[in-house]
Amino acid sequence: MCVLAVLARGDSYAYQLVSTLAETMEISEGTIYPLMRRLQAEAWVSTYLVESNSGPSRKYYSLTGAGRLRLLEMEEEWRSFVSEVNCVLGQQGKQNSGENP
Amino acid sequence: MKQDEFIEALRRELSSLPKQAVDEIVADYREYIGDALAAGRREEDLIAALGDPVKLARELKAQANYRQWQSRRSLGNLFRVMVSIAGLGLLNVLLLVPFMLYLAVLTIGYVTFTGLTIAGIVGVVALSGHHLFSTPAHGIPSIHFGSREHDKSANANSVNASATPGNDKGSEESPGNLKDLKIVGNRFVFDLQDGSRVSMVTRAGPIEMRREDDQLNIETPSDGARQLLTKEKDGTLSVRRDEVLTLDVRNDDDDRVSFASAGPEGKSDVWKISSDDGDRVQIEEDAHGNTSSLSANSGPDSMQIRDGSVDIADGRDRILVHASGGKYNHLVAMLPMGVLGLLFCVWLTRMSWRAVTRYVKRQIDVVSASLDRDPTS
Repeated sequence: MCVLAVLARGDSYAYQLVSTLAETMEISEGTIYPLMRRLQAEAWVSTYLVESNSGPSRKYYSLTGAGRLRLLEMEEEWRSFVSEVNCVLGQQGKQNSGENP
Repeated sequence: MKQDEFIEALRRELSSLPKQAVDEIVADYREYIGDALAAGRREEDLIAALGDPVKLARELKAQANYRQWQSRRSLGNLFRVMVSIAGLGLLNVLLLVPFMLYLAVLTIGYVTFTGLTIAGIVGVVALSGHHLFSTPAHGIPSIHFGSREHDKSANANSVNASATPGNDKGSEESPGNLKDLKIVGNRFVFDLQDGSRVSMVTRAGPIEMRREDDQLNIETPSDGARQLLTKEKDGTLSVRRDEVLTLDVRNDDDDRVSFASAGPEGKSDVWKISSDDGDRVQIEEDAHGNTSSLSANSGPDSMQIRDGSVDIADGRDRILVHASGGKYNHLVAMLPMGVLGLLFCVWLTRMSWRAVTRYVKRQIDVVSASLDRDPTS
């Protein structure tokens, strides 16, 4: 989901993705490719090669329409999940305070 | 670890995948390493951060197998997915043992119920054949014995009379084409024509009757036997059927009907009906009045029904059907059992297939989630 969110801001390549993600969260660098392959298999991202002036051509990832929809769904799910958990945590707090005045 | 070692290990672990896919993955990692080095990172640190190539390869393989399985849902592909998931340590391999056992039981179920269904179909086919050949009561009138018309109808009549017990009680039947003898209720009624002769043995003694020149002669050595004969209003004579041990009626055409009680207490009967041109019908009844055997002969043609077997011959050709009704009934009962069992198995397979599919999908999701979140892997 986070990868999709980063890609939503613009096309990117693997190292750049990892670097962006690594700014905010811990991520295992090696697993970026298994992850990207899965997203590719789901047709949420597409790839294209860009010739670079130094070294081999670079593989860029870009979000597809389906990926964009999926990202919106995921955000929705995430928000409702977070609010549910918050609700539960809030209720528990109340119960605890009720039992122990 | 240097990057070449890393790539080499990765390539080795991925060797079961198609070469194109491996090349692509390797190219991806090379690109990544190149970018990272260009960004000024130390090679050792970078490789360490990438993680264990063996573990990465397992995850890549699990995904590839899963994708393959999704595009072609065969049992072999499913097996490969499960093994690769098991390789990730997410699926306990011990879980596979009861699953295999379950598959074995399901297979046995399929074999058993398929067998039952086939046996049932065989039973139905055999039973319909059995019915086709062994119901004489309805089949006889249409069987042509090749004899004269009145003989044929006579045979048909007599067969009907005894093949359907109860028919001869209360209704009026004439066994054979002899007009001289009728069975009314439980009595034999004699209406002797000119030139006909009756000889019978009753429990009280023998009786001889003959009619010649419109004159009825009754000869018997015992008065007891004579008293058994009852004179009816229309001038016929009758005798109780269970008093008669043997009976032989013949007319001047040499058509003949003979009857003999046999067995304990004279309960089972044998009927023989013959005409002058050699047509013969023999019927044996058991103590309950059911026909236990039936045979009809007309020249070279013959038909026999006995103990569930039917034998039809016309001198050259012969049809022999031997059947046991009970056995086929069991077979027929197998058909619905087999079909129901098969349906159950199919249903079970669908359910378990769905369950396994869902399970594998969830496992793959767990794999992906671990890629998404687990920072230590």
